[in-house]
Amino acid sequence: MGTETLEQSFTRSIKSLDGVFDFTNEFALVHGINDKVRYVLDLAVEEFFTNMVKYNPAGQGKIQMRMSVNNNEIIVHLVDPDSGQFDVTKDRAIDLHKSLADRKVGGLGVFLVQKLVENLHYHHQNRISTISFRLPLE
Amino acid sequence: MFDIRVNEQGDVILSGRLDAAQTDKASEVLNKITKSVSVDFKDLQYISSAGLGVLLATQKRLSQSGGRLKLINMSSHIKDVFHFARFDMIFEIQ
Repeated sequence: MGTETLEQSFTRSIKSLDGVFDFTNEFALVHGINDKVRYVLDLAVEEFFTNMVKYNPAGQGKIQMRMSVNNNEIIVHLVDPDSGQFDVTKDRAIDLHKSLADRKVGGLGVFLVQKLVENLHYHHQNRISTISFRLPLE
Repeated sequence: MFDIRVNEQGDVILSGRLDAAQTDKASEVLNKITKSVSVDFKDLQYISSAGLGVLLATQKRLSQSGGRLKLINMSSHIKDVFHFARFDMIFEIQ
């Protein structure tokens, strides 16, 4: 059974992260989400939100987040209303076995989230980018 | 709320949430570290890839002079992130 969708929009800035986490915290409290799932939810939302800010600083309009619960899964959508294409479902070329001197962090955030969330989707049309993913409640 | 401080022994104490908005604050302290130290994660609830990047940059810089960071008292959630990123291969984690 589904629940009411919570929705909020955020200014395109890293400084918006506090508000983003207030939003996920409110959602987690309403649904009794445990600490482990909350961690992955926050990580996924931060990595995608900061990507939208970092790679598209001149985009117009706020970034919208929608979250709901259906069949024991959290469903999250992030929508950038004015962006080029950046498919977050594509494999990241990260070599995890490189030595310390050769390791880089670029791309690591999306790589991590790809490992941690389920049903990751990306859609881009008319300059609107939508990222969606699911997380089991348990 | 994120905080970072250096205790009397010279070790680094982290607390709160180290997200992308807090990396400048973390770098400001870590850039002053010049020798091997422990970084205490006991009161750190959250770290994202941005925070991992700050720690990686510090580890790289210290390694050039034979130093390193030792990460202690990590929660299981944070340990999982380090493991997925294979950062457990480049940091000593206790």
